[in-house]
Amino acid sequence: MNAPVAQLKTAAETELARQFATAPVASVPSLREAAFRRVDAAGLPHRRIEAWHYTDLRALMRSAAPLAPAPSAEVAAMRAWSLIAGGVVVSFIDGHLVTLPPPPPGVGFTSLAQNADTVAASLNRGVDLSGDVVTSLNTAFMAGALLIEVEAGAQVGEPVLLSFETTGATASHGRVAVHVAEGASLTIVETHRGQPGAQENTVIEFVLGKGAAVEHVRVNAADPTSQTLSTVAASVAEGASFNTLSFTTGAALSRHQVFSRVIGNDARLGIRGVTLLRGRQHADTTLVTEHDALRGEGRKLFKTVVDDEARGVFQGKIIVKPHAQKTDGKMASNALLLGEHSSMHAKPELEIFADDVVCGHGATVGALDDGLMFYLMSRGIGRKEAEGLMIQAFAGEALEAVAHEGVREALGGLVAAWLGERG
Amino acid sequence: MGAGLASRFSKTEMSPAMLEIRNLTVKIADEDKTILNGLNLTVKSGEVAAIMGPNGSGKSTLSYVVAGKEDYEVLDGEILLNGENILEMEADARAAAGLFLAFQYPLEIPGVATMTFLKAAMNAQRRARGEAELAPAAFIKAVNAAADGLGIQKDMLKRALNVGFSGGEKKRMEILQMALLAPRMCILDETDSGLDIDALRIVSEGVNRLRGPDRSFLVITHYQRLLEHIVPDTVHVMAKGRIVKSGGKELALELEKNGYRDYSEAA
Repeated sequence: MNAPVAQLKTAAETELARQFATAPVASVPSLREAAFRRVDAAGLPHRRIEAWHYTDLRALMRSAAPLAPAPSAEVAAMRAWSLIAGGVVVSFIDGHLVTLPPPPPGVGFTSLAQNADTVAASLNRGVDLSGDVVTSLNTAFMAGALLIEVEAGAQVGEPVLLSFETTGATASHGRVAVHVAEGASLTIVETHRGQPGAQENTVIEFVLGKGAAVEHVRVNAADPTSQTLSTVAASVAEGASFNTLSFTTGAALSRHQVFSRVIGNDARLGIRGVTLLRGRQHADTTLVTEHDALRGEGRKLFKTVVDDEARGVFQGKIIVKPHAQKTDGKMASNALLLGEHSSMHAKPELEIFADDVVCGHGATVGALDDGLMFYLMSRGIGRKEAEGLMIQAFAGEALEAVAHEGVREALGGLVAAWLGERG
Repeated sequence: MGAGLASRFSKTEMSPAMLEIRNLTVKIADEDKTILNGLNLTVKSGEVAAIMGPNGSGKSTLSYVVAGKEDYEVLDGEILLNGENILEMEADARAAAGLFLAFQYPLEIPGVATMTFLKAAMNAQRRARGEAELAPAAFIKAVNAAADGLGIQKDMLKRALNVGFSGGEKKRMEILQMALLAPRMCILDETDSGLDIDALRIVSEGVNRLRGPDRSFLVITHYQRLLEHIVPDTVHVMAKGRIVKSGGKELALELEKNGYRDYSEAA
């Protein structure tokens, strides 16, 4: 319909092309080249592309930070952020995989450095991400990449903690694939923090076999001046259960994408998030779920607290294919606006092609309830503390779905810390 | 803060009034009609005063305005608590100064555990008064003791505040808070509404245990029934936003007999 228009490259796009052309020869060159060709052809996504309407990356990404070099041995040895005590800690610094401990029983780790072909073959398996420019950018530039394989039936008790740190205003690209075989279970916690001006692009892909169960939690506590692009993909087979929760307080500009596909009958999906924003932060959460099997259950709950002049975006699309009968999907986005100039854009979408489904969505945007505030304050609780109690309760509704107690408590602590920083 | 406290204590000696409301005139913030029209009322230290009145006479508005709800605009008058004008204070500061409102409809707060809320309230008031926060063991002991006296089960304390509580449980929870916060001026807004006889007795006994020479009560009610359990020292009749008649406890019986008919035109 639209005539192709030759678009002028932005400074960031030009720099990305230069970086790709001049980067030292890396592993899996053909995979990278194909990925970068897609980036180069499409350019950075902009507001005229529907899925990016509220987050015009082309306009917002003024420059492409230089690619992060591999960290020195000294930097690589720095202590990773462990959200909880225990667990097996895998450390990425500036997108490079620097610490790979022995895996817990029933789990295998394979890094890109160890076996590039195996890792490359494990990518883009469950959900086709080739149309996503952010993922293609990651594929073109990925530094550290890790394949985590869980054997059939293995119930992995110890969580795998993926620590991502940035050390400067550079661009980092970490990549993880998690293949969980039939009947196995795994808890995986991803944490991100770092230095001002960092640009992070992280992709984690899950492939769940029949009856597998995964709990995934992602914490974005990046520096408030940084840019984070993150993608979670999951394909869920028969009777399997995938739960993911994103917890975001970091980055000036963040975009969190969750692409999920229910490919087997009786599978369960839980996709949740808590986003706490202040200053002029912009945080976008975009979900696409495709139900392609019978009796799939989907629960999506996103809680966004927006203070000051910050801006939240929630886009959620549920697609129910014609044969995916008895799908039961619920999606809710609730936003709490604390500042006079806080804003939230919510766009839920249902595309239902089956006739026997229960799907619903709701989006609310509101301020703190005056009546509840008065009740709390009439007991002597100060305004800030009363607001804090209500914000904790608001976020808690999503956090309570986290099954791992230690992780759930640690996230509650992060909410309290965020509240403690409110003026 | 220090000066405020000092003046409050010196005033206590000079005036026996715990709550003194002078010429209070109030309207809802976004509307023109006044709800309280030059209301005058004094509650002495240790006194239990009852306010009775027909629906729409402004009883609940009075309780909200005294407690510091923000939906109202005070056009004229003063509210003195222990000699200190509290009109400029926010609700939390009034509570720390010794005021407590037992709500007619206690609010449900999903996600806030009852114990978390009680601890936050007690410690906030202690901090405001320059006292140290309660140690966890002392806090739990105090809550358990107060809960036992009101027949409140431990299970209720673990749940989110008032969520899924029955009407009677919510009212008992209000009295539990009153007992723990130990206010000097307690306002009970239609505490009897929605209570069966047994719950009314438990709640009333809870209130009666708190009576003392240094604590005053303002009991707002539509019916005389509550006043059989919480026997007042004084009874005031409210109509059209002001006190139109004051008397002893026999006034409540007279109202029960004759209804509010006589007062609907009195204002």
